[in-house]
Amino acid sequence: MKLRELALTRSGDKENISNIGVVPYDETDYDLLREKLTVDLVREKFGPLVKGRILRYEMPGPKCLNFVMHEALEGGVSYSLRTDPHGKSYQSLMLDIDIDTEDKPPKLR
Amino acid sequence: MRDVVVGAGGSTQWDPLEPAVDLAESGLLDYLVFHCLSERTLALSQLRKLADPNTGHDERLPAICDTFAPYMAQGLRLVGAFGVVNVDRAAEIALTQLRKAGLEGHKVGVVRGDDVLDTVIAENSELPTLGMRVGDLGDKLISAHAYIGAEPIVESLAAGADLVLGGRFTDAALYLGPIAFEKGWGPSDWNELALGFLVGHFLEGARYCIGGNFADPPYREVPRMHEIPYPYAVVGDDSFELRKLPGTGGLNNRHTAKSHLVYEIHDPTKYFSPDVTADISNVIVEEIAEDAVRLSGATATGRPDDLRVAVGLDYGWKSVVEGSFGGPGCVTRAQTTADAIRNRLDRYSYDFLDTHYNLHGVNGLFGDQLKSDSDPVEVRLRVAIRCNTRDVAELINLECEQGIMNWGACGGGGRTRTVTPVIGITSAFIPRSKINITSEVITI
Repeated sequence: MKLRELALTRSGDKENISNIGVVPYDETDYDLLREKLTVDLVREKFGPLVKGRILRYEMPGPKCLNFVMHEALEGGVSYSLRTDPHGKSYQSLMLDIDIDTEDKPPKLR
Repeated sequence: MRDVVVGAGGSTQWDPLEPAVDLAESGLLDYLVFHCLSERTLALSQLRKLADPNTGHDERLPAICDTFAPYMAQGLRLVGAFGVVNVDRAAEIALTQLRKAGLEGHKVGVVRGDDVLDTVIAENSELPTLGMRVGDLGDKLISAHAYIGAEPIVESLAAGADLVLGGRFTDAALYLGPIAFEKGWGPSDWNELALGFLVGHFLEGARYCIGGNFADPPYREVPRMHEIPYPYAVVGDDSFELRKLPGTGGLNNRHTAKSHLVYEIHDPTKYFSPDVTADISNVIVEEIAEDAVRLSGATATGRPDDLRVAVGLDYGWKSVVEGSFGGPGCVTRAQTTADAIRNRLDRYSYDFLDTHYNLHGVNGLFGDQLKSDSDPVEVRLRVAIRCNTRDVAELINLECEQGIMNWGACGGGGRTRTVTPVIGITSAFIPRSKINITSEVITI
């Protein structure tokens, strides 16, 4: 199942760092995403787009995850030559990640 | 303590004023706040000011004064980073325009001291991202502005200012200032400051927190996206309500609020700002009415010792040329043209700092990370090159255009081309004690 079925995302930038927040539509899927949406999966999806480290933070109050991707914008909005120097579109690439939900069917939205 | 109502006047210098007028007209607001700066704005404004010392401020300021003077006459107060890199000029304009508008006796607060170019030079400050020091930059150094906090805004308001202006305020501080002033919070009321900071984190995004950058049909629909207003907040003592005016477009629910909660954050337990290091990892988001969300639970125990400084650098010149190819074989034709342009430009490569070739519709946004099974029906070739010198940037800009329109593969059309100066922004960190922020309140 694509992450898009389970969550919404938003990306932001600060210099050469891109962050993507992941918000499950249903809060009860938070634990599923904590287990399944790993840094390794995100690393695999973004490949060479992210040259630095990727960190994942948990937000237990609002039940969101936050991924912080270093060296992800070819310099950052001020001088990157990328078509999308802010990485605004990265949120949509994130939603294309496949989440293995066979052992834990998520609740219908 | 009574509720304080603060509204967003926009999130960039290019935002329209009409939604801010709607908020002022509603009569609900105590404060209308204008966040007008992005990372690049300061350095670009610095270049403008170097060319003409009467510029470098937010050029909307005369219009903002004229538009909102009638509401200021009724008690609305304005806070904004209108000075950008020319606070003195912005102060002159505000005083002149507001006097013309009949606001004699009202007061303007002027906050100075965020320009720390001399300080970073004297300190030879470290630039950790670049792995060098300010002294290594030579004549590439353009500007240095400290991200300053809410305290001088509080001081100005306490001295009776009806409009407070300055330069590189941290976005959220523009909102935290008036809230802290009205609530009487001190500089170590950490959890309260974290609440006010969270208000700022939301409202500085303006439309972003009530349905902008959100729709993804059919998963997420936003009603009347063309009429998304600017948000406002009703701030209590331990929570605030994020609201938008009744009858407006957009969306304000737990999902839009959470999507903005995570916007441009790093470690959510340590969200750094000059006023407070906030922990927003346990924020509670509640839908309390249609189009109203309550947020609470931000905490803090301190603030950073050093202030972040945005250092602007001359990073050369950027040439961008695009042109489209369509129909059978379009990807191959665009790619062939790109290869030919690359060969043609090789003679200028001594001046290149960075190059970026891509095909919109194939690999523009995500490189090779997302593949389609079928060929697109059209693609757009984009060649972006950053050069040391303007001369080479102009030359290759023409060469690329010729490649697409003239000697490249067949059917290339709809070209666009630009050459622009590039300002790089990098961070330095300097101790608060090295930065002298002042606030002056002037009677109109």
